[in-house]
Amino acid sequence: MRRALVASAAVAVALGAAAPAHAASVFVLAQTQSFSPGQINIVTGDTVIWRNISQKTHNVLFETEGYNSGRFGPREVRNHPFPTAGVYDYHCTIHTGMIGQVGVYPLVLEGPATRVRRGTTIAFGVRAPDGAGDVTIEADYGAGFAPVAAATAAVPGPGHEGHDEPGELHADVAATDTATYRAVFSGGTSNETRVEVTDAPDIAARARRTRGGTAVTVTATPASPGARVVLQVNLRERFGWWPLKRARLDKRSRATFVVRGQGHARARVVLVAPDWATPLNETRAFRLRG
Amino acid sequence: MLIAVSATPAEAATRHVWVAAVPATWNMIPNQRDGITGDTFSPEETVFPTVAYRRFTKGWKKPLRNAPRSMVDHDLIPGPIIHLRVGDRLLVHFKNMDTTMRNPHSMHFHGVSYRPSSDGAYVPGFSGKDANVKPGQHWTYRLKAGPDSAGVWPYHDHSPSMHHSLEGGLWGMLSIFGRHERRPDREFVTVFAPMGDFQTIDGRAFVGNTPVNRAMVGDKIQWDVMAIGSEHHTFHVHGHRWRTAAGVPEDTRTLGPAESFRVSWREDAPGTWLYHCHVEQHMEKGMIGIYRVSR
Repeated sequence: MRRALVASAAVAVALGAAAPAHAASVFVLAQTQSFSPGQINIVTGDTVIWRNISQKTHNVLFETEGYNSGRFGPREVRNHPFPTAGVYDYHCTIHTGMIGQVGVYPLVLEGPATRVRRGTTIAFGVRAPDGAGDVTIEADYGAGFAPVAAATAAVPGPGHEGHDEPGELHADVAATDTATYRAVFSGGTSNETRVEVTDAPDIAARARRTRGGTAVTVTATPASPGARVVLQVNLRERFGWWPLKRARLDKRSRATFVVRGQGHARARVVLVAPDWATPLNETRAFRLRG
Repeated sequence: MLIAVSATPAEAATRHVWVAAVPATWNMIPNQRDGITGDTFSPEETVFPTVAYRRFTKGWKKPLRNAPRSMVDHDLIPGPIIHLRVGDRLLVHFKNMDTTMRNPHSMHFHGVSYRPSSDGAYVPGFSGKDANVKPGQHWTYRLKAGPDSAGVWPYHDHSPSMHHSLEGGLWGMLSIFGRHERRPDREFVTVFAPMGDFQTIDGRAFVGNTPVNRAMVGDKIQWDVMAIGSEHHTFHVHGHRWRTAAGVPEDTRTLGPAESFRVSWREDAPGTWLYHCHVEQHMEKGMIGIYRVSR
């Protein structure tokens, strides 16, 4: 459960053999020009391990704290423990703009990475130290923090005693509006995480063959006239999903894309924010019809 | 799209081009990734509001594409590609439609002749309305392509807001042919310019996002290359060479801020090739694209 909990935030966690009891090791990937994730939150006492998955040599420098990893090449790792709470910025001195941040808290709150549809449930995970006692989830809808739920022990897995293991707490909160959340216990306060609640509709696409191409009809439920939708095609020469056409849904909450010259390429339709890029929802991938 | 090989005109022409500075939301990396390293980016990192030059029909009634897809396969940045021949007169009717940031803008042209009233460069106490066109206002720049104008040249905002505008993509290119020069079969626009945290070609970063240029074996192709910003770049195309004016073969050429050149060859190398700035830090930040040659 501990692994699953943190992996959901794209941070791999393993129990660190050299770390204090119950401390975790959290991996950060050093890519060609960036750290991934660029920002992580860990529990006091955890160790961060930087793994170089690029073909470049990198380093990790915390100027304020004074830690310098030294240069490490492809497939090499560097690690550093964080025994004291605080927010620590670092960067690679070899590659300009390659920056990262480690937030160290008495307990860590993890929420969904994407927008949540209003009326659904927000599932939070909490990593807390041994014997944390009562942990409360607080929300700030704009008028200050107030308790909204109690975090409870996660369902124990096979062989798990389920009494005083750190970390495995969770809480469900109704998604009523966008808010900032934190977890609180007698020993301190967690990081804050913002969860955006959206009314973004579900969208569906239907592709049918027309003379010389494919007509893709898009609908939204509930009806959302004016919503922005982008037809994306997965193209080899574009190295991924490529926005081919875009449209606003009409009064009937429909839009039709007519596509020619893309063969049987994989396609999908994405509901996007006003910037025409931030995805709010998407259809499953489907094939164009030549 | 194939560029028509037109017969050279007997007499110089007067060309009218209608251009406006328009607000836009620009995405430097529409596929949200560096296709070579696999690094990914979020729209928060790659999308920004800006102002760009847009070609219009007469009277700014209807927006048009800035360039044929064969020259730049996306639209808006760079601004309109303006073709002339030596001896032509050019009237650029410019309107500032920047209704969001509400900044003044202008157009300043390299490589052509004009009077100070068409310089478009802001100098307090000296310059006129041409250099400081306020939102909702317009100005006509009167230019001439002289005997020494053949080549490719930048134009860009030179108003009080130019430094912010140039990083946002408020620039374009003149492509001027000699009076009797034969036009190429394919012409590719390649503008090196920094944008935010990225290094872009035509306002886009990383393979797949930057223009995918296409040609066929046997085509006479021409690259129109220029740099905007404060850095030097080195234009390089894999698997090809061209000759300098002195007849020296080369496959990489350096250019600095506002410099521009064109290189051309008869295509004989089918395949998918890279073109990029060879300043490694610029490559890593996105200044790279692919060039596909088919038989």
